[in-house]
Amino acid sequence: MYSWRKLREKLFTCLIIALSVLAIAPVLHIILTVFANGFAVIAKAGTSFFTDLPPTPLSKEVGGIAPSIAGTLLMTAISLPIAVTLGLFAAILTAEFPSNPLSLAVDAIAKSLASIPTIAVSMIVYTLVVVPMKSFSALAGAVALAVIALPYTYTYFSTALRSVPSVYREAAFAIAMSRWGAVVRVLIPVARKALTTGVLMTVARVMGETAALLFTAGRFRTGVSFSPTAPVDAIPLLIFDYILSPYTVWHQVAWGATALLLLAYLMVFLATKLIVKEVRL
Amino acid sequence: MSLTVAELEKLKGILIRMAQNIKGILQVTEKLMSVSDVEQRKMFWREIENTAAILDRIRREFVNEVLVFIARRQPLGRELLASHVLISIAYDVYRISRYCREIARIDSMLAPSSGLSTVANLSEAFREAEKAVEAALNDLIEFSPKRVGIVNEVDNRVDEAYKNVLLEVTSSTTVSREVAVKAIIMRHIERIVDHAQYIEQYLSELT
Amino acid sequence: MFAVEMNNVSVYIGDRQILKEVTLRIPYNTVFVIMGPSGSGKTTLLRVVNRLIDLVEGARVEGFVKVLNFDALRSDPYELRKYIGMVFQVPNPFPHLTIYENVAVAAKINGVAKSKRELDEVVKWALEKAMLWDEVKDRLYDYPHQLSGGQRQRLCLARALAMKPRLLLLDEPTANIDPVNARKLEEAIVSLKDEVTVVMVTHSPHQAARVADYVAVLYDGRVVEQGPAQQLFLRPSTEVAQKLLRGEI
Repeated sequence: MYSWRKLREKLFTCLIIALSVLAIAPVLHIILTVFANGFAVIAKAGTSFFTDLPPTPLSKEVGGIAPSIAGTLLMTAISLPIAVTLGLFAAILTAEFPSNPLSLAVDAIAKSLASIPTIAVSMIVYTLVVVPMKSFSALAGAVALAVIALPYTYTYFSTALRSVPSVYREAAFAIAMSRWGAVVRVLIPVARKALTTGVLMTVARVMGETAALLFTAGRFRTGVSFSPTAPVDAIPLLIFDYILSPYTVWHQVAWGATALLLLAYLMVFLATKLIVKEVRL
Repeated sequence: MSLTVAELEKLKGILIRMAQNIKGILQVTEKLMSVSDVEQRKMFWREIENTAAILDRIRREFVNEVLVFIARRQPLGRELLASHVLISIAYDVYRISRYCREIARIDSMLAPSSGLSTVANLSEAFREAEKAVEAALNDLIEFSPKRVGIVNEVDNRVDEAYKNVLLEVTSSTTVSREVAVKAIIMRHIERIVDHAQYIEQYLSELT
Repeated sequence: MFAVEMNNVSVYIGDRQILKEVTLRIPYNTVFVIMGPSGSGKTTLLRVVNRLIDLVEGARVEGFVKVLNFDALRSDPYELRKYIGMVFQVPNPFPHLTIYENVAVAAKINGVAKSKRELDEVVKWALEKAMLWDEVKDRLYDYPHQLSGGQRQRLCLARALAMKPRLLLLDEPTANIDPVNARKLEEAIVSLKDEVTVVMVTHSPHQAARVADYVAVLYDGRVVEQGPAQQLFLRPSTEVAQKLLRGEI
């Protein structure tokens, strides 16, 4: 009896390990494949991968993806503050006034924004921003990204604020802090790790978003542009276009860009672990 | 019923049983004061001596029990007052037995030539004291000072008698042995009634 | 006259009536203990005093409450709370602030101290009064999670004291601490009488016996008996109070 139970236990443990490996294996495989193929390309191109323009379809040189990097950075820089600010205020609103009808409305809207397909967002922003401006632009791309990121920031921030035990809020009031003071000096600082994680998660989301930029950003690859009103490129867009093309050199560029994107994601995840000091309750 | 109250009831029971012994010792002392046969009196002296010693021991143990009760149960309110009352009444009961012992001692010193039975009116006074103590004991059993009136009355009468004896002593320059013995015994009797009164007083603190 | 006066105060949370026509008088510079079984409304009563009851969904307060010359129910709660310090049942020092900052923030917000030197003095004074100074003087810049539960509670007391309040509210402050720290806290509380009026809630009659000058017995939302502590602990006049002292309820 005794040894049969031990055997069963061991069997179960092995099963769990096997299934876990099975679940993680594809991800590991993807990461390894991307790095293997991508770093080869980057190594061949050297630092010019980050500064040169993309190659013509039949060239021998790999060139670079500078326009895409610039575009991604620009659009992230514009969309992130918008999404973070709006998300934070909405989260504070629903945390401080949970039963207010406005809070309930905000909560419902923010959550339902998440269920709009990203391609639909892209088309809506096309109609609302690109058409009046009569051109694609970084701004349009940023607006689309912000709309997509908003439900995420709202949910991350809202969860973060709700995870602060209410006893600290009570303590804040008990020492005669004003309502706003309690939010700024207690609620937000105690939740800072979760809030920062939320921001970094949003950065990752925004950096890798493709469908939203299809009809908004413009795919401007022939030069590096930092102007918000002019068309720009984005790394995911470049990967999307070049992978679908028949040119080998463009495939290589796409691998390199994917590796770069993946590297950026890994750095974001590392940052979430290291940047903000945890508040030990 | 909570543990505190249950334990307190148990302690009350012990005290009441201790107090019952007093009835016995008082009866023997009364007999001592009316009998002249030395052999009988010797028996009585021994009985009184033993009972008094036992009661002393019981009292010490009882006080210890009550202190342990207080430390363990940490009573408040009525139960705290009751603890104090139990310890105090135990002392009063013990003192009554001590006075009986003192009376027996004087009788033993008077023997064989004389005895308490030769002194006038002592038995009468002692019977009064017995009445008072019995009333107090009955009140103790019921834990309520219902008979405080009786005890006070007896106290007044015994006080009067004691004062008269003191007057006899203080009014002449020399005093006969009979008067001296009477004075001492009357004092003991008066103290016995005092302790009966104290018992009533403690019981009334609880109401 | 009295630090706190309550006249016919009733508190409803939703449909339930928690406090029923409570009338109380709390004299200045005493330790006033509110005693009663769990669920009798003691915490609610305390929270009416500094208007923390406002944070409870669906709470409604009726009656008249005077706290330190404020009409407590009609005044601005943020103004009222400047004069009232509170220590909660579960120690809740701010986890993102150091020990020093925890105490200092209370002083800064209420304008008790302005310069760094003044702040240092207030922090030292508050920690000494809470009997915590000796244990933390070498680690003022550690965080509360490095302290034991009892030390955290004393830190909360120091934080409340740093406001230099006129009234100190304590909600079962020793409920979640070990006995040694609980005694230290009680000693600290009794020593504060000269500077503040202390209102403490407890369900332990023995704790009340140790610290109280005045006691109010609360049962099922009503004040059943109130008066000087000595009187209540030797000769309670109601059966409810007697049962409470015995630990039967």
